[in-house]
Parts: sequence; structure tokens; C-alpha cells
Amino acid sequence: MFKYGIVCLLLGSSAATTQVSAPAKNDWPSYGGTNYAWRYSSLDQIRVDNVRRLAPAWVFQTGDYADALQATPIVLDGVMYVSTAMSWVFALDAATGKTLWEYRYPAPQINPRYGNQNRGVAVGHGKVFVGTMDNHVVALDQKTGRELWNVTVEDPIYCGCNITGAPLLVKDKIVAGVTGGDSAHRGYLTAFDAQTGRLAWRFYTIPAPGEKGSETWPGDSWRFGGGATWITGSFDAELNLLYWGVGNPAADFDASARKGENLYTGSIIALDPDTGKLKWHYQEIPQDVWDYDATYEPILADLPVKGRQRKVLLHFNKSGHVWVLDRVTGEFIGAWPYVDHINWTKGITETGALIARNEPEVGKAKLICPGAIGGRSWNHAAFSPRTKLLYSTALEVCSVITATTQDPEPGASFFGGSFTMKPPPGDRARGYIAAYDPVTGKRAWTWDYPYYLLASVLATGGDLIFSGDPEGNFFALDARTGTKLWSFPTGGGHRGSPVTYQVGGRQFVATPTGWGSIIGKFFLNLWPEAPMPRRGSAIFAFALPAPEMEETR
Amino acid sequence: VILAMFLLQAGLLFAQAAATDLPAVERGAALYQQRCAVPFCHGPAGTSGRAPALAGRDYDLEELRRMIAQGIPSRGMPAFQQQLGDQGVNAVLAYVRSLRPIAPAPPPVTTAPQIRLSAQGTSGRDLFFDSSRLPGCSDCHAVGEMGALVAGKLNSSISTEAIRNVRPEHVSTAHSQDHPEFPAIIFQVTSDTMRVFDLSTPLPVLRTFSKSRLALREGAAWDHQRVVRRYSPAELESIVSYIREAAQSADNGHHRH
Repeated sequence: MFKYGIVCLLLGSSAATTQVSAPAKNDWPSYGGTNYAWRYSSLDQIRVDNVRRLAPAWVFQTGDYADALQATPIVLDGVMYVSTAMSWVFALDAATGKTLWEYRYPAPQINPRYGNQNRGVAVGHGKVFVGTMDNHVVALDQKTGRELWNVTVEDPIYCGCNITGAPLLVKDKIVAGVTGGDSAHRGYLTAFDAQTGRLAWRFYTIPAPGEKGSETWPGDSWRFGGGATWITGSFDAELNLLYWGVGNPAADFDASARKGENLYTGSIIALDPDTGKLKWHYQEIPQDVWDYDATYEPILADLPVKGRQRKVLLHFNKSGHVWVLDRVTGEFIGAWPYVDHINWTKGITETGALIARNEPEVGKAKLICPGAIGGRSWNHAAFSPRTKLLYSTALEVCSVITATTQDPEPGASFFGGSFTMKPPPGDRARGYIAAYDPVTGKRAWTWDYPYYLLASVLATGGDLIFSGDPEGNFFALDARTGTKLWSFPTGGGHRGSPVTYQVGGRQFVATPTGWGSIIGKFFLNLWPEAPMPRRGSAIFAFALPAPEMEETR
Repeated sequence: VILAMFLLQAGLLFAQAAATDLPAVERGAALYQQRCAVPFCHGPAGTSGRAPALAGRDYDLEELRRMIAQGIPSRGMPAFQQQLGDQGVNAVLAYVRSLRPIAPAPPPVTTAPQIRLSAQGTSGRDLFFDSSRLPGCSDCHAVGEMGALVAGKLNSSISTEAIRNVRPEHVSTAHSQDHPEFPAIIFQVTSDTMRVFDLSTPLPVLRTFSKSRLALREGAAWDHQRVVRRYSPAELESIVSYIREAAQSADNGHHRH
């Protein structure tokens, strides 16, 4: 006990001097754990040596089977807030699963182009914020679940966009991104006053004629250039910078009408959260033609790079690379591959330039790796400050892409081509979880899975990695070796994001379960032998049996 | 019977006395709940009952006024002119026009209606929905099945004159101890809440307040001209073309797929 006390003390003090808000502790207050998006909690009651006794504590059925349960639950002061495919929101007693309140968003009269998906809520200022499939942002009373305000971001049919990501609470504002990267649409990020819902600012990811960067869009291509913001960003309070990933340009596979770099698509943008003004941007892929969104989570960590401690931003791009940037200035530090099969480029130079581009061609079928689904889907990575490793799912999958020329029609699909999924040349289609050095990409271990993995990973202070598979298993790996230590069949396939938290001295690990998702359907042909993932929509919460929990305190 | 009539009269007098400070829509809501909402007529939300659903219908203003005042004797709809007087009829009119559709749902749609628009209509559509005009037309108005239902649904009788001469009849001023004043359109009044669109911001916000914490008074420092002035005469002509073409198409039974 004394020994653990010292460890905790040391960890506590190092955390206090470096990044106070980086690891989550008793709560899971924000989408990525904290606004640094580590998906790591320092809780360590559940550890490598006792995880085999982990057992279900409660199960909550949402009753919403419109699509997968993709949410990251938010946990604050013993209450869990979770949203479902149809933008229903539940507040649950996080220790028992008992419903405290529920909010059923009225079913809208549209079928959103990007499906009924909802990846979670934001909580703060006494409110719970949720985006909706028909492009509203709604604020609920945190105590009662009653609607306080409700604002339409843009007509979802005309823009061909909606909200599937969790909004991010940044100080007194709630920031919401939209889908629409594969639509004839001009992307943006919008911030609302958290109290009143009034518009605070909007940042267009594509500059209008006359604005800086507009020279990268010929003609009226800027009006239909995509640049979606569909995954939640991160926030560094110390630097007062809001980071967001911007998706691919449209038309996805045909750049003939958009010759130029197409700023700020395929980029990480850093904004002043008070004004929405651009502080810096870094474009990972100029004039993308592969549908390689750069919209995935920006992970903020302080790491030694070539002997110097730097504030970095780690970013998984669909293209199969992780970009490492200086998050103070946007300077390129490096990029490394997180999958084996990459043929769209021969590599990335030390200054961040692409070495050759293997582009789709109009009327010609070309095998491109990674495929249009990416070397990973949106499901998130985790960073552990204890192991100093970055953990993520990865997919060895390619696409045969055929580009076509297409005229944009506002809000309509604007792919400029089509694609089918294929195994990589000379290999079989594979999925795995790997542990990477965050700066060099050197793999510490790989845990192989026979099919595809589409759930987020969670890292804990007990040196465990949690995730789920499409067959319905929720499992734990040893964070240092990748050895599978525990598994539990929840029934429904996993397409959500697990979290951990502590209530009354007891650590819980909770996961959404229940299949759905557009992406999952693409994989059915690639793995015909894989069992069909089962639908469902439930939260499973696990804990150690009570007496054992007592022993470890 | 005499006693009952006396009580009814007293009740009405009291209701009228208490109602004089309220904006027309709110008085209309109260009258509607008493007279029109009965389950076998229009229902509490204007969406149910044996009589036609009222919510979300783009009735012609004068036709609706006539129906409320004179009734439709052949279909069992009573005349309310005598009971309510001009002021009462206008109040009910204002309230019915404020009702939003809740149900039944039309078939779900993913794409815009395939309407053949003229070149002017096409540029009008892109102006109507332009997200960088804050506020833009579609942030408040609907045409066919697209756009927002903050203000009235637009129909083919639109003209640039009408757009320039919009008077903010339905806009009130919301005020309370907790919030600075703001221009508001009533969305829904329930027994304990007041739901209003906050027009102080480019994207109108539907806000819900406890009835006890928000009061409304007639009129507002809000001006449709402020929005209209940001469009050139040629742009307004294009917008009118779009509204006419899209509304006509919707009237002719075109549906999205």
C-alpha cells in the first residue's frame, strides 16, 4: 500500500508540473477524456494482475436501434451522459446504470446523407450539448434533461451536411463541426454561446474569393469544395488554441475542377477559440484526390523530440500516416506510416513534402492503398504517459478507385468517382491494434485480429488497453506487451468509444456496444467468412467484484 | 343556467382583462386552447382531431381570417366573430399562423427536390440558402420542404415589394429579470413553458423558458429591412424567382426523393 502511495504521489507531481489537464482521473469530462484527447485515465484499480476478474456491474439498453451506438459517454460527478443514433440523450447513475432523465429528440423528417450517427455530448455550464442528425445543436438542462435552446446550423438538405460528432465545449462556447466532405458543400466550424445558443463565430474551412488562401481554388470550386469538420477537435487552454482536423476536398477523386492546394482541406487548423480567427494551419495533403480526410482527433502531448521537450500534436490521417506537428507554431516535425500497405505516395520527406503521387484517373480503375475508408476509421487512438506509447486500431485494406468528372449540385453527393474494397497486393485484408512510439512510429507490439476493428481504444493507469470487436467482444490487452488478458462477449458489435471513471472508490470501465455504421457495410465483401456483426444499443459497465475492490484500496 | 352563464361571463371578462397586455399570439394561444383545441376539433397542437390539422399549413391570411370569423357551416366549423370580436379573431389568426408542423411526418428525404429551375431561379436558390449570409433567407423561411420554419412558409404570391414591406407583426419583445431584452417569435406555449425564437442572433435560436421567467410585450426593435438591404435589387429578383418556381413546383405535387 505504501509502495502504491509513493507511485501515485510521483505521478501526481509530474502531472502537475507538465500537463495538469491531460489525463482523466475520476471523471471522463470531455470527448477525448480531456481536451488533450489522450483517451487515457490515470485510474489504476483495475490492473494487469487483476483484470481477469473484471465483471459486468450493470447494463443499460438505450432502445434506439437506428444505427450503431458510437458515443463516447461523458462522466461527471457519478453521472454518465450518453447520446444515441437518433440524438436521444440519457443521464444515468454511473454506479448503477439507473436512468436519471432521458431526452428524446423528435425524429426529423429527413434521411441524413451521412446516416444516423451520434458520437457523444459535451457537458458543462449546467448543460448537456448534443448535435443532431438534421444539423441542430441542442442544449439540455444538466439536472433535468429539459431542452434549453436549439439552433439550426444550416438546412441539412441544401448543405448535404449534418452533425455526427460530439460538440466541444471551449470556455464559454460550444463548437460544432459538420459532415459534408463528400457533398457539394463548403465546410465550416461554428461556435455558439453556451448560455444562449447565439452564434459566436463561424470559420469556413474554404476561403471565399479575395480571402487569403482563395487562390488555391479556381473558379467557383470553393463553393462545393467539401472540407468537412465531422470529428471533434482538441483544445490547449495554456496556449488558448483550438485544434480541428479538416476533411478531404470535393469532388473526392477528381481534382480537374479544383487545380491548386485546396486550402484548408486536408489540414490541421489552429483557431483562437474566442474569435474563430485562424492562428496557423498545416496542410498534410495538398489537393487530396484519395478521400484521405484529415479530420481525425488531434492528440496533444508534450514529448521529447531529438532531445528537446516539445509541445506536439499527433494526428492520424486516413492516408496511413501519423503527422507530428509543433502545436505552438504548426511546424512540421515528422510523419510516419501506421500501416504496412501504402502506395498513394512513396513517402514523406523530412520537410513534409510528398514523394510522388499515385492518383486515381478518370475512367480507369486503380488500386490505391490504404483504401478510401483509410488506414483507420474515425474510431480513436489513445496515448499513455506511463508507457509513452500511442495505441490505435489499423486496417490493411485497399480500394479500387475509378474517378469520373461530375458537376456539383448543392448538397448532393460529390465523390467524382466510385470505389470498391480490395485486399492489399500479396497480402490478406487485416485488422490489428498496435502500440507505436508517438514520434518515430516504431512499433512496440501488434495484436492481430482476423477481421476489421472499428472501435476506439482506451488506455489506463493500470497499464491496460481496452477495445471491442465486431463479433461483440469487449477485451483488455497488456499495454506493454499487447497480450490479451481478458474478454467479455457483449453480443452487439463494437463501433463506439470506451471510457473509465471512478464512483465511490470503485473504478468502472464502460463501453457502448451495438453495430451499425456505413463503414462496416463496406467490409462485408472483404471478409466473407467474418460473422455478421449484431446490432444493438447498450452501455456495458464493468468493475472488479466488490470485495476485491476493497482489498486493493 | 343563469348562474352558469354569469360565471362564464365573469370568466371571459377576467380573461380579457388579464390578456390586454399580452401580444396577439399569446392571447390567441389562450383563446385557441379554450375554443379550438378540443380533442374532437383541432387538438391542442393543431395537429390532431377530426377537424383538419392546422399546424404548418400555409393558409392565405384573409381566407383563414374569414374561416375563423364566419366558420364553415357545411362542415361543422363554428363562426367565432360574435364571441371573440375583431381583436379575438386576429389573435387566434396570429396563433394559428404561428403553429409549426409536428406530425404527421412526410416521407423521409435525402436530396433536394428535382425542380427544373430557370438560371435566375438557380442563382436565387443559392442566395436563399447561402450559409455565409448571416442571416440568410433560409435561416427563417421555408419554401416547399426546405428551409426553416421560424417565420412563415413562403408561397408563389411572393414579390420583391412584399419582401421589402414585411412588417414585424409576429415579432414581440421578450424581457425578464434574468436576460436582456431580445426580439422573439412565439413557437409554443405550454402550461409551464414558453418557447420562443430568439431573433437577436443571425441563426435564430429556439429557446425554452419557464413561463414565470419570461414575459413578452407587443412590438420589437426588429426590422426585416436590415436583412433585405444586404441584397441588391437584382439579387432580390432572383430570390423571388426561386421562391415562385419552387413553391409552384411544390403546389403541383412535386416531392423529393
